[in-house]
Amino acid sequence: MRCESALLRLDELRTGELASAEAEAVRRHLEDCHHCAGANRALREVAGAAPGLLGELPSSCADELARRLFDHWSRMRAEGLDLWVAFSERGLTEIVPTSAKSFESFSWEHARRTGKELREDELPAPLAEQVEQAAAGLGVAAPAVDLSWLPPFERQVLRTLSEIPGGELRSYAWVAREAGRPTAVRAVGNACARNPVPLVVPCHRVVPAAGGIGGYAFGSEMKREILEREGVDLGLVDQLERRHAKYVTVDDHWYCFPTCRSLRGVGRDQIEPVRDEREAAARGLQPCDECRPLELAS
Amino acid sequence: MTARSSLTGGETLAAQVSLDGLAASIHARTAGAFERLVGYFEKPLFNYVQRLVPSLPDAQEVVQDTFLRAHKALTRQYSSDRCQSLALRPWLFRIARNLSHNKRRGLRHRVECQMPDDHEQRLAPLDGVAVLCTVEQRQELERLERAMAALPLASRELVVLRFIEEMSYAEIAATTGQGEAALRGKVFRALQQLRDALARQEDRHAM
Repeated sequence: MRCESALLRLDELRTGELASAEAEAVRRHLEDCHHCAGANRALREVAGAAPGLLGELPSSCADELARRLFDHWSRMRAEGLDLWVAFSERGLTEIVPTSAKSFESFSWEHARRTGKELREDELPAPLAEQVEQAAAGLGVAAPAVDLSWLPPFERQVLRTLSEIPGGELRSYAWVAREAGRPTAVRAVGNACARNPVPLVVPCHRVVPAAGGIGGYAFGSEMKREILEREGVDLGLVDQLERRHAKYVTVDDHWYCFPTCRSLRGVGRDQIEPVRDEREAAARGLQPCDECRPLELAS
Repeated sequence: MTARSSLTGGETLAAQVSLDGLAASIHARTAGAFERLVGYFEKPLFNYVQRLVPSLPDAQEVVQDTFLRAHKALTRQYSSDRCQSLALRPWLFRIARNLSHNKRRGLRHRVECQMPDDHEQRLAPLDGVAVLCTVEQRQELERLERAMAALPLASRELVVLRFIEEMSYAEIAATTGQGEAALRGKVFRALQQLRDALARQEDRHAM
């Protein structure tokens, strides 16, 4: 065997990967050739020391990977509602009525929307409490939700929704203005319709400007029920709808949304309907400071 | 010094068998399978990537992205047949290798960064092992690490894969996309370069 081919085989001789006949040939060569024997010793020295360079990890990425790849799910009941609940360690990511989706489509769509797979886990008590309070109509002041996976505009809309006080209603145009995109009314409607965390983020407090109660993930009946639990005077809302009025006034100076908290305790007979911003402007009414109704663009 | 037998030894073979099943269990979304993959490969991958990219944070990012890619591929892109027959180790190392190259390419555009950077950072991982060895051994390892940093990237990579990770030539070929026969020569030359670098260090010490 020549030095050249022996040298290229030294490494595999070391690890025993060489076929036995070949290994024998290399060994014979090493006995005769000092140069190659020296190379062999040097090789073994480095190869023996190198595994020592396998250092420790500064920190494991296992937790971060789990955060990026997986959400948890649980099933819970609240106020007669049977719910699939998905959550991360930052908060709720999805609430879906079991009547609306099978578990398979719930988890499949969750993976599609958020890019995270679901694993069964116990729902942390603070999160369960939020869902229960929201379903009971008590409202959730600071929703523990993780909406990081949503597009920024939808996130902004949902943040705005959380600012609508319990027991009050707003229009989609109002949400659009508050979210900083006054003309994006349709987009607001879509974002509300896609609200992944109904109840906790109160998309039920938004109703169509044209009147009526609008649709809901749990059905319109449920929407009425939750609003009533929250203390909305649906009788007044229906009455105004029949008269095609968006706003009301009590003193011919301010105009408000009919559910505005400044009207609490005011008798229904004192409330006078105001059809829309145009009529309010024509009558010289000022928008209420509390509920900030829309104003006619000047 | 005795030759380490892990390349052909029963231990690695057994590990290989259980790892083959691992890709399939991740595909089937078996609980804990992905965690097992991370637990098994995180350290070797970090050890490899850390010598390909300029800084430790870069290396951590690349390792994390490697696992994200692997998870996506195994659960959503590959068929169960493909997962069954996948050679997990070279496949993962190849993903890590490609991502490391992307990383360096991206960094080169943003700032002029010199590849082998300050030794302090590079030696940081040694702190973990240092507890277990004497001062002399520790100095020896530092010497070796410095010499590694002085190698061209392609050679350094081969030293890691062959002598630290102890891959077979077939696995290195699958990782780097080079032919096995050519690799034998390249590994041999990488080793020579390493010895030269060590010798240069000694010269500098002597002066």
